[in-house]
Formats: sequence, structure tokens, C-alpha cells
Amino acid sequence: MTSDQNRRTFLKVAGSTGALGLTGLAGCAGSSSDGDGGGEGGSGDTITLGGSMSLTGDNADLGRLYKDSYQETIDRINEAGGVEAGDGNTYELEMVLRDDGTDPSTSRSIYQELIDREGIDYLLGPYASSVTLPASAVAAENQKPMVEGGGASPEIFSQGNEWIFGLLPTANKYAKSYFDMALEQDSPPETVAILAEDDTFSQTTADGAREKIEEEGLELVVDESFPTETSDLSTNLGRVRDNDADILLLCAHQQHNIILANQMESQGVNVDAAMGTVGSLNQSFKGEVGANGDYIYGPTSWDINANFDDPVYGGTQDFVAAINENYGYPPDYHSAAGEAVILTFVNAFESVDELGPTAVRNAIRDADPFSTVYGEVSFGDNGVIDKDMLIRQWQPDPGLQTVYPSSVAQADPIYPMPDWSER
Amino acid sequence: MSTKDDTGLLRSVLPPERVDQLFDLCGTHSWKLILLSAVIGALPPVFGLREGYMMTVISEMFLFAILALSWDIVGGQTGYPSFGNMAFFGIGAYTGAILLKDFAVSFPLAVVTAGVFATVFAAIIGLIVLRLRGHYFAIATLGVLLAAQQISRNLEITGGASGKILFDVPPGIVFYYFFLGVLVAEIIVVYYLSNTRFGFILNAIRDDEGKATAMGFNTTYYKTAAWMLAALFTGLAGGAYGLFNTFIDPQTAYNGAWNVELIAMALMGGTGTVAGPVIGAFGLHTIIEYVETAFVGWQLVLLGLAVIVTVIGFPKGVVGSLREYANEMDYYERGGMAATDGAADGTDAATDANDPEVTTDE
Repeated sequence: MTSDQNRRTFLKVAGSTGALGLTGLAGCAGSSSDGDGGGEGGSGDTITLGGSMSLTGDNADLGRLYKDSYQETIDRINEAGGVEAGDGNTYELEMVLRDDGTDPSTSRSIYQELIDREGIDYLLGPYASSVTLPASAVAAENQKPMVEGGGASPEIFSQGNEWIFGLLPTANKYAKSYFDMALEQDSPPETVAILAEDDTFSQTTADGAREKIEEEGLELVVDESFPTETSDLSTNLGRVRDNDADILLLCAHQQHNIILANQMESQGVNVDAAMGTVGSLNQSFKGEVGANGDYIYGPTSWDINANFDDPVYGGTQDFVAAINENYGYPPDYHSAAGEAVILTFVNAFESVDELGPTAVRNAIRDADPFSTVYGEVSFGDNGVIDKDMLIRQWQPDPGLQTVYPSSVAQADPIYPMPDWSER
Repeated sequence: MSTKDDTGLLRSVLPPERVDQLFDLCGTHSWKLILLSAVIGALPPVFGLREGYMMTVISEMFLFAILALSWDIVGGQTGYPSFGNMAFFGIGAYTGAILLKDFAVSFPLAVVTAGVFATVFAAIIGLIVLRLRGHYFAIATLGVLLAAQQISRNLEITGGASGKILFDVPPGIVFYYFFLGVLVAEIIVVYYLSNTRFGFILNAIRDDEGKATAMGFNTTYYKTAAWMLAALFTGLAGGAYGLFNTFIDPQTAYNGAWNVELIAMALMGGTGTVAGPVIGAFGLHTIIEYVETAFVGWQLVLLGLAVIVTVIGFPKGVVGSLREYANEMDYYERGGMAATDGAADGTDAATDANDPEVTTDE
């Protein structure tokens, strides 16, 4: 019995001792790698960009868009001779991309590993706001610039973090261009209705819309929220009709856009314009609602039909062709934002006298607007791209058309949209 | 069978009697070893490790060891496989984050309150779900986790789906010593309890709850107490995690992957022991960190393989297998059954050693 008890005792203790001891050793070994962060990845003519991306898990399809776009752009830059930096040297670009599986609990250690072990000074942001938040804190702690094209929450940029730059317009800007477009029409709206889903992203979108409405002197006649689970908007649409709103904004995701289009038709709710913030431009939305989706608007940060000049590809259409040819799919705004992430760094490398995280951060912050396949890039004081959403509209004959701003418009908006009785 | 052939090399390098002696030695000096471990664990920052990747990785090792050891109090010592422990972590994480961010409470007070909240939650939930057994218990605890996650997603005070951001973060060394301190405290408490009447009754519940009840124990009381103890340490760890990670949302605070990992850690290290879950946590987290950087995109596949190999190769976990190996010699010395069937004998011997012999102690 005594020896059994002793054995029990040992087993309970021995493991913890050994494990703690091993950890101690690992810790001591690890400390030697601190401070090894060479600016140019150590080789002298290579600059390494590093980050994590959703390469597995639910968002792997989206993560692939960024990865392919990063890789294609870096390959092309290197094939063309590399980056002629402002310090007079020419550098090749390299990329280290880890997989975070869109798990916010992994991004902290991944980015610390990239900085401490890989010696990376220039960080590529991850996908999704939730993963970007801890990653951006690591960038700030270590004073390394991070450029990201996958996080749109305004919270990322409201923490006073001077090391993070974002290429997606934040959620509160999603509806702004819609009002600008409507106000440019011959019979501009005076009253607005907002129906907003009760989730944070949609509420942030609605907050931005309310600010814009106040700024423009419009009257908000309906301002209602509804739960995510709801499959009926008829009561809220009744309020829109009763209050005689000129234009309607639905801050919600695709399922509610479908409900909205079908119930507007069944209840005969007529407005001059109606826009859904997320999912109203997808082909699957139009497939579900058919002709009821005609004249509905939606915002996008990039238009595949645009043609912006670009120093690497030539122009947007060359980028579209390159991604199509090499990866077998048409790029979307994630791909274009990914290209602009790389070019943001390249543009900064070219303009600094000496390479280093602080100099590059300052160069990104102070850069004059420069053209990429994604459009013109420059950053506001909070680090977010100074970019407005484009507005597209489902039109009966040609289909989906970019209608605003006029510089990239494929067609004029059909405004006001015809009453249901006239369709 | 073929046990002797399979372990021939091991036997020549590390004979079972040596392992047995080592066990006895450590058993005699157990409290000194715990103290020594704590001191060794506290040393890296003294020798210059103050920030960065290694500090985060080691802090996470301590964190996972807390979670795995907490799971084992109920899952291993008591034999109730909980799939809801991350609910305690999430409640702790949100309590800590809300107190720190919205009420500007100090860090120590926030984490202590987080531990208390998680414990109170465990008491309320435990009295309901701990009346269930086996699969029913496992499913009920999973339900608790999912419900807690959904509630956090819908409340305003938790930041809804967007979560809580905590950017005003103390230096990494604070979390290092916090997680180490909680882990050492938990090791001391669990080790002490495992040699008390309380610990033996938990083992009795695991081995045969019917008999334990028949002996007059209010098993629901003991199970709930164990569950609350697990919640206390898990909640304390959660309370600090929000600030450690600078961000929590429902996905992070009630992390489904961690919920599986912490169980895998306890199983790989050896359930029903103090050392096993700690070894499993340190080992598996090291593997995870390595695989994530060396095999990008394949980490889940390789992790799955590591778990499968461990379960096949060491079904009792590292500590359980070592225990079996050491006891084999002990068994021969007692002259048991002429030792003709090594594998079977070893298993029997291990079972003997596992048996807390509640009846004699009572």
C-alpha cells in the first residue's frame, strides 16, 4: 500500500516538474532570439513581407483570393527586377504567409513569431476584423507597420494605433455613396427609411447612414431594427409606406435582402430607391428574387469593370486577366485589395531614404494618392483608406451595372425606380 | 505476448525498476518537487525573457495546463467527461473584460471576480447537469457551452458578435507570472485533494458511482464541488485571457477548438493524475506551435495524426503508460501469476495501482 501511494504521488508530481523544467529551458533558449529583427530579412537584397491568412477553415476560399493576389503581384515585381528602394538599392520581395484558420486566438502568437523568429518588419494583415484586432495590437507593441485588406470594423482604427493601415472602407461608410448618388438626381430625396438588422456590423452601417442623413439635412422618417432570425419585414415595410419615405436603406445581409425584395413587391411598397448593404449584388440574390430584385442597389469597394492604372500590371483589366489566366477564377474586391496591400508597401519602400519600420510606416501614412488596380490609395489620419463605395444597380436589360460615381459608371441609375404597378 | 520484444531497447536503457525507483523518489519528495518546478518556471524572465513570441508561447502553455488540469478534476478524477469547460473560460473572459473595460476595475480584482462568477455559474449549472451520467452528461455540458456562447453573442454588455477590445494591456511578464501562479496553485490544490477523503470519493465515483452512492456519499455534492473547483481555475485563467489576447468575441472566449484540445491534452498526458494533464498541455501545445509554422495549412491534419498515434500507442497517456511500465516490475517482485503474459499482467497491475481502495481507507 505504501509503495502504491508513493507511486501515485510521484506520478502526480513528476510530470509537472519535468514539464515546468522543460518550459524553463525553452524559455531561456528563446530569449536569445529576441532582438534579431533585421529590417530586410537578413539577406541584404530581399525584403520579406509576412502575415497570416485564412488558408483553412470557413474562410479558406476568401483567404485564397488574398494569397494568390499577393503571390502573383510579388512574382511580377521580382520578374521585373524587384523594388528600387529609396535607399538606392534594388530588393527582391519575399513573402511568409502563415495560416490562422480565421481564429482570433492564434493571430497574436503567429505575428509575434513572424517578428521575433523570422525577423519580419513589414506585416500583411489577416482576413476578418476579429483576427485583425489582436494582430494589430502585436504590430503596435512591436512598432511594425501592418497593411491589411481584410478587416472593415471601425474598431480596428479607433484604438489610436498608428501602425495599422486598412484598404477596405469601414462599415460606417457602406451607405454614404448611396445618399450621394440619390442627392445628385433630378428629384433628390427628402425623407429616408432605415431598416437595420440587429448585429454589430449592420448597426455600424446604420450609424454611418444616420450621420450622413443628418449632415445632408435629410429627414429620417423610419428607423427600425429587427432581429437576425426574422423572416418577415412586412410590419416594417408598412411603416415605410405609411411614412411616405422617398428612399429606403436596408442594413442587413443577403437573406433579408431577399425578404425585402419579395415583400416590397407583395405589399406594393414604392420608393424612389432601395439599397441592401451586404449580399444584394450577389448572383444568388438575383436568382432567388428574379424580377423583384430589379432596380435594387448595393455597395462595393471595387468594380471588376473599372480601369485604374497600375505600375505592376498596367491596369485593372490586365490584373483581371492575369488572375483569370493563372488561377482560373475572376478576381473580386478581396483580390484587388490584396494587390493594393503589396503596392502600399512597395510605394513606401520606394520613397524612404533608409529602410526601417518607422520610416516605412511614416511613408505609408504620408503618401500622396497612388494608383493601383484597386483604385487610388491614400490613408486618412486613422489609417483607413480614403475611399468611398461604388454603387451598383440591378437593371432589367443589361443586368448589374455600376451607376455611381460617374467617373466609373457603366450606366446612369434608373431613378426613381418604377412603381410596382408599372412593371 | 510481444511486449518484451517491443520494448527491448527501452528496457535496456531505462529498466522498469529504475522508473519504479524514480517514482518512489519523487513520491517521497513531492512537495519539494512542486516547489522546484515553480521556481524553474519562474526563472526565464529573471534570465532576460521579458516579451515576444517565447513569452507568449510559454504563457499559453501555462494557460492550457490550467485548462487541462481543471478538466481532469471532473473528466479524469471523477470520470465525468465534460464538453462544457470552455463555458467557464468564456464567462471568466467576459467578466474580466467587462470589468476592466466598462468599469475600470483593477486587473487583480477583475480576474478574481471572473473566477468567482465562473464558480457560481458552475454551482448553479452543476446541480442540474451533474445528476446526469455518461453520454447524457457530455451532451448536456456541450449544450451549456453553446447556450453561454449564444447568450454572449446577443447581449449588449458583452459587445455582441463584435466582442470586446482591450488595448491598454500590461506587459507580457504580468500574464506569464499570473498563469504560472494559477497553475502552481492549482497543482498544489489538486495534489493535496487527491490524497484526501475528498479525492478518494471522486475516484470512487469514477470507478463505480452506484457503489459510492450505496456507501452513503451524496455524490451530487462531491461532483458539484469538483466541478466548481474546475470552474474556479478555468474562470481565473479566462479572466486574464481577454486582456492577454487584447480581444475576445464569442468565438474566441468559447473556443470550440480549445474545448477539444484541452481534453486531448489531458488524455495524451494521462487522465486521473496531476502530472498527466500538465505534461499533455505542454507537449501538445509545443507540437501545435511547431506544426503551425512548419506545415502551414496542414496543422489540423498533423495534429489529428498526433492524437491518433498517441491514443493507439499510449492509450493511458504518457503518465499512465509509464505507470504501467514501472508497475510491471513491482508485479514480478510480488510473484504474480508467473508473468507469462506481459501485456495482460501489466494492465492488471496498473489497474491495481489506480484503485484508490476507498473501502479500506474508509
